[in-house]
Amino acid sequence: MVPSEGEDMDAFHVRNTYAQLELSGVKGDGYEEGVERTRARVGTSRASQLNADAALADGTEKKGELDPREIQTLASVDRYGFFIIPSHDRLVRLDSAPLLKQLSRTRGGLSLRLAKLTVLPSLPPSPKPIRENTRIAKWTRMMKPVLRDQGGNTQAWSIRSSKESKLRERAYKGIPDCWRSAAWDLLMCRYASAGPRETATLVNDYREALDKPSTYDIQIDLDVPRTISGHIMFRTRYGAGQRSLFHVLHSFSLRCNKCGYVQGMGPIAATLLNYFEPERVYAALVRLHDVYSLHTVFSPGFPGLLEAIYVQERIMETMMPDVYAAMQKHIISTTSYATKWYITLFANSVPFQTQLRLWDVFLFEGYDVFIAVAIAIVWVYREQITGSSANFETVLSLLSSFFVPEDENALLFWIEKTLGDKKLRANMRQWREDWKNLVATGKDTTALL
Amino acid sequence: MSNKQYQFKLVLLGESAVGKSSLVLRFVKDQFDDYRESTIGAAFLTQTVTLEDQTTVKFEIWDTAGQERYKSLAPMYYRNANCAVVVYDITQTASLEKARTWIRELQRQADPSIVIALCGNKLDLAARRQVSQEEAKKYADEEGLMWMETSAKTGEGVAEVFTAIAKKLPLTALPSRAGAGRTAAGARAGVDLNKQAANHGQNEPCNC
Repeated sequence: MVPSEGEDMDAFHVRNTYAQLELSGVKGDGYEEGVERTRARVGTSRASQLNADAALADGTEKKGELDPREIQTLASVDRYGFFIIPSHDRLVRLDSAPLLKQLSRTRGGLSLRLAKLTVLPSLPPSPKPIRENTRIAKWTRMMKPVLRDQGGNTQAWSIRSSKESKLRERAYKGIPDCWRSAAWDLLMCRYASAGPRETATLVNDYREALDKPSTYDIQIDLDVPRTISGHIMFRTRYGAGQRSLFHVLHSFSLRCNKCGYVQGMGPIAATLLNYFEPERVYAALVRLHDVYSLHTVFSPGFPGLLEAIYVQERIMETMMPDVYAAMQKHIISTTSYATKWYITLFANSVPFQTQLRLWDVFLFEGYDVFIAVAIAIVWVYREQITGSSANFETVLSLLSSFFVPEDENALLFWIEKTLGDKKLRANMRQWREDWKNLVATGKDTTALL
Repeated sequence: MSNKQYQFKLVLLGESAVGKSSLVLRFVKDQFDDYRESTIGAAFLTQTVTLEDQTTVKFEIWDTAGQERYKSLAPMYYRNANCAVVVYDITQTASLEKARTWIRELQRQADPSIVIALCGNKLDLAARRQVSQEEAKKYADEEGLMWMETSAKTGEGVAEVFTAIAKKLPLTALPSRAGAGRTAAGARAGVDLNKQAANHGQNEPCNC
């Protein structure tokens, strides 16, 4: 590899390192920590050179017997590939009881007696999805291959027309994990009105971009090893998962001049890498960017984030005026707790399995899902937010927490009901228009909490 | 009469991956992650320090995202801040440049009485040092900033930064009930929480 004209030498070093290691691989991928080569600008001392050389794989890595440490790691991962549960500063339970009541205008004197806030000492294991085998069978009957490669592997799927009407409900019940890759691809293609031909073009774009320099390479390299590092695929420095993540983010940073690379894209790409090869993750990111509103979310100034927050605040104001008033009283701006939610699509704010469930419906419904999740959280904790002992610190600490649903299904069912409300959806569309008008007339700066 | 309690708003600023979140994690929970997730937007935490005279100072900490793109969100975090910790990485010359930019911005845009500490992190990597102590100290002296070096990894110097800031903040009680630095009136000094509690006639339990 040679540097491109005008490419920063440190950036080239990063890009070149990932490219070289893609050829050789690294030792102990999946169970060793690996050796840092780029991030801390490791010096060129003799010792560090020897270290780096020793960590290169020699081609026999995945051919012999499994290393005992590899067996140990493999034995300790959960069903999604996490071997350590990431530590979170504050874990709180998202109670189900409030979710039994549909979103409706409430003011003070709640009819429902709410449980006290439950703080969890550690993240409990995710519950096994209910009736999983039945659901797998249903999805198997519903999904139809439309394109196969030469080896007979399905490249694209569609829904049997007789099952069309079931799709929404089944997405809300949770896509069985073994069907997630196929179903997510299908949902994204439907939403984008795209098919295998468009995917093939994007796969080609991905490969071409790999050979071009990106001014974001150094930043991407800083973020790669700290993105879901408790996951077996992303554990080893420069292991296959980290290389894929780097390459996807690199190519995607060249896709849109306005967006480039933004911190927050990493957890999204890493989640997708659990289900697709890198080139198809790139294609998925392009679809999220083009048709699922992420272009406006990631553009400078985060206009799509502010729009979502405006819509969230209008829902709070109309449905939970006491909550809205409490936020005003305590001077809590919505950006101070919800920015992370809207930019990372709830990666790192809820357990991984819950995040997948939210994405199942996001890919069906679109970005409004995340506004509904934000509203659900505020709805569940409305008593804590409006209580007499609430203050700036208690409310903000609570809303900055990691939320563990008491029952994922209760949360998803509540979101389904909320987004199924046609009047609310029409209002949400209107509020989006209102926000655009506020921006156009320069009145947006004072329109948010 | 119990000892005095004050509350201040503190903001952390600095280039990406210099260790802002790691400093806070060490200060608040006495923990360290080699690869701490990048902060999106900003993270809110609190921690209290007790000074020798038993005065307690509670920090409301805003740990901000380092990537340039998030700079547009920064003013809402340093607005009305009583103190700022601007962090650079002693192994990265460019990160000190970025720290200077932040300090200029604070001097122009933040509250004029803001207490600023310049903090050189990753002291455990002193073998790869690119920013000399002399250079950083000279700059800090010229600008009238506090300056110190820390290692979030080993914990060296971390508590000292926050204690030193607490000592330098004007511990003058305000008659108003305003929360720390969230209103124009509360911006200039800490709030005496005893008075606040007395005014309310209640202690506000933390339910989180």
